[in-house]
Amino acid sequence: MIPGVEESAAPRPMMAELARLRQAAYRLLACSFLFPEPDLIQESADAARSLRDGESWAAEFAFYGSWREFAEVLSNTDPSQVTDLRDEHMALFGADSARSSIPLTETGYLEPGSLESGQIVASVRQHYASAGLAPRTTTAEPFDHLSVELEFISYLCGKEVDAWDSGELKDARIAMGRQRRFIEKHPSKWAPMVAAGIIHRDGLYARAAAAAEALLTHDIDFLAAARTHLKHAQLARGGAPD
Amino acid sequence: MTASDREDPVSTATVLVCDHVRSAIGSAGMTAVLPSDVCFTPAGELCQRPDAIADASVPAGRPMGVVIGICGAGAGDREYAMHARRAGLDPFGVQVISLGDSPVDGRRAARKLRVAAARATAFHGSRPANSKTVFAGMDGLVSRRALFTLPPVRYIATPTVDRFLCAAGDGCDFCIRACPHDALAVDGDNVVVDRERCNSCGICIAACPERAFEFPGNSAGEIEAATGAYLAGGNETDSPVIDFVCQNISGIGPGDNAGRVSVACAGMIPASALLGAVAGGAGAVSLRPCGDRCTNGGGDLAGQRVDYCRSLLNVVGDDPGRIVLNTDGSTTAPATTDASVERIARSRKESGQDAVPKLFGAESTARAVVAIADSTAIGPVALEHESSPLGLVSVDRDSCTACGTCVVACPAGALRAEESDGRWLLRFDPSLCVACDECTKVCPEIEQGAITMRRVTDLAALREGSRVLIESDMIRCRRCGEPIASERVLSRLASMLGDEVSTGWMRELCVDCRALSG
Ligand code: SF4
Ligand code: SF4
Ligand SMILES: [Zn+2]
Ligand SMILES: [Zn+2]
Repeated sequence: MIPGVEESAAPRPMMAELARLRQAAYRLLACSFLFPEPDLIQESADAARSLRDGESWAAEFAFYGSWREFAEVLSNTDPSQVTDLRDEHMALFGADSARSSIPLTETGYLEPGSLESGQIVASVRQHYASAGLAPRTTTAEPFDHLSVELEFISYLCGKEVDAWDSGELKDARIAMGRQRRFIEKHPSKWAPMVAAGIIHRDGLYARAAAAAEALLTHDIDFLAAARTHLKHAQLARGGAPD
Repeated sequence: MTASDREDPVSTATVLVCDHVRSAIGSAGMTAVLPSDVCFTPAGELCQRPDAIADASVPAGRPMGVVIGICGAGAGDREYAMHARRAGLDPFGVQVISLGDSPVDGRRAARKLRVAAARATAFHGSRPANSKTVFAGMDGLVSRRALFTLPPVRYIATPTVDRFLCAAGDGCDFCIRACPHDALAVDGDNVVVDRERCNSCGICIAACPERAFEFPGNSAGEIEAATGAYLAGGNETDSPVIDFVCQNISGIGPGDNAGRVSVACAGMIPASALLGAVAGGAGAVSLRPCGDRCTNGGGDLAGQRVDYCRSLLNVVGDDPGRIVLNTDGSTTAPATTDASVERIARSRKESGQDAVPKLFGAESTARAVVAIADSTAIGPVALEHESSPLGLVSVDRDSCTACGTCVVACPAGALRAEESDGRWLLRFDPSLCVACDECTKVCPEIEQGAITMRRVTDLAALREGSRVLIESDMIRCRRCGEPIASERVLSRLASMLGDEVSTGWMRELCVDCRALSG
């Protein structure tokens, strides 16, 4: 190892910065699986452009490759493509997201046939409620829709950002624990199946599904490792892990 | 440069070197030793500047193995991985090969790069589930600020299972039993890996008869490709020594002749790989575990397997010294006898074996044993050994009832039931038997000694191949023609019940038809 290369001049990013990156990534992924609207496309593409060219340290993470390909495709999307995107969305996921060949709801994979919101919906709602979110009944998407689940993780990442920013280590750990448990119990159980159905294709949805799978799969393991790491670091400082 | 104008349909791997390495080898020298589908690209100050990966024209867009050949120690694996990711490459396919301080020994460097390139061509990409996060320690950093700072992150590869190849649905669980960290479990028809428990030792790779594990960087195919490349270059040095080394051991292997094949843990090298390398023309093979610090029990596994292989070489009339366990870090290559290498080379040519030996998976042990024995022209010898990866099953014709329970239990497909001319046959293939003993555990006539399994490598049986252990008439339903049971099962029932009358009707109708006729 050459001194000065490995630990280069740039200081290490803060935990808050990674949480911010993940918050934005989950949010963009959540938007990508919604039925396309011109202003949503515009906003997402703008956000994707600034993220894509953003943090140089992001390449340190295993999800970077898939994330970068997704951000690239999204950056080059504009509202004029709304008709094509709608056609593709319909063709892939269908009008009734629970009944299509590639459903976008968890129920569609893990409780197929039961169109009645069963145990899965009850369970995701419980996760939302315990994080202080009152489930709205007016949303267009069901509670176990991929977009809603991803948006929820983005929300939890936001909580983590706030905690780091205000120096509340304990709150940060709680937010990370919530993310890990939710990802493990819900999206990681079925998002890879969505990806398996379309990953070999071209276009926004295939790249979004690949990026979602990469990020979720990475984060379960990453958050578990981070928990152990923080515990050790706190012990090393002589403090009890809270 | 964008991904699309880099498209190069022919290359399967890329070799990048720093200028110092290039001038030591010479571009012509390099292209001469590399396979034609591997592209060779000089990348300037690669040894100092890992970002030079991005400037080099590496075809992106599909899984691509990349070899980074540098002088000196380079910039650290983490840095190269990060820049590979930025260049659109999969870091698990990147091998950073340090070729010694400048001026580099060109001949030795070319040989190492050729082997790494062969390994790179066998890289088939990774899945998100193959990555496991490792945080660098916070040694010395105990300030409060440190808790809020993102520690450097590394990733190590963990195996995943190809669900189309996994035979767990048929009852196979060899990997689950072999895993020293209890990281594997059956989920539906597949084995799944618990990443948090997995220690990335690859011991499961050695246990899997179906070659179903994906283990980017250390897959069965990659290890075979590297070994094959050393063996194929055998004319360059008279007797190539294959040196399987645990990746925890750094430094140069035994002697310049040795072909160092780095593996995740010594425990992932099965006896079939040691024997397969010998059968593939290696003068000698050494296996180097990392020693006491191995948390996978790799040293013990290596010891048992080497012991078995040496006994086997002895029994078939070869030199047992050709396979050694290297535990003292000795840097002298094991002695090789040129005569045996020549013999193997000759028999390899005669049997038309390909350059890449099969070191893993079902039948690889049997194939290697027979090839070595054929080269010494030994007679029908057998080796009974507690670590024999092969078993030999026999049945007692008097007490076996031909019920077929063992067939259902055998996870390796070594026992099979067949029907021919109305007769029921129990077939056994000794090259598939992994000595798991499942068949004897389930046999209902085991008290009578109906089936026996011995841990023995029996050359006569292996040469003979699959054979019929027992056969019996098959009694069929008079009404629908479906098989009822074997003649032997029904006779056994009759003698148990001591009553010909009540079993007599069992020979007439099957259960379904009996229910129908009331
Ligand atoms: S790599 Fe080792 S620890 Fe991981 S599943 Fe395989 S045998 Fe178990
Ligand atoms: S010991 Fe029996 S069950 Fe196991 S592989 Fe051999 S024949 Fe099959
Ligand atoms: Zn150099
Ligand atoms: Zn019948």
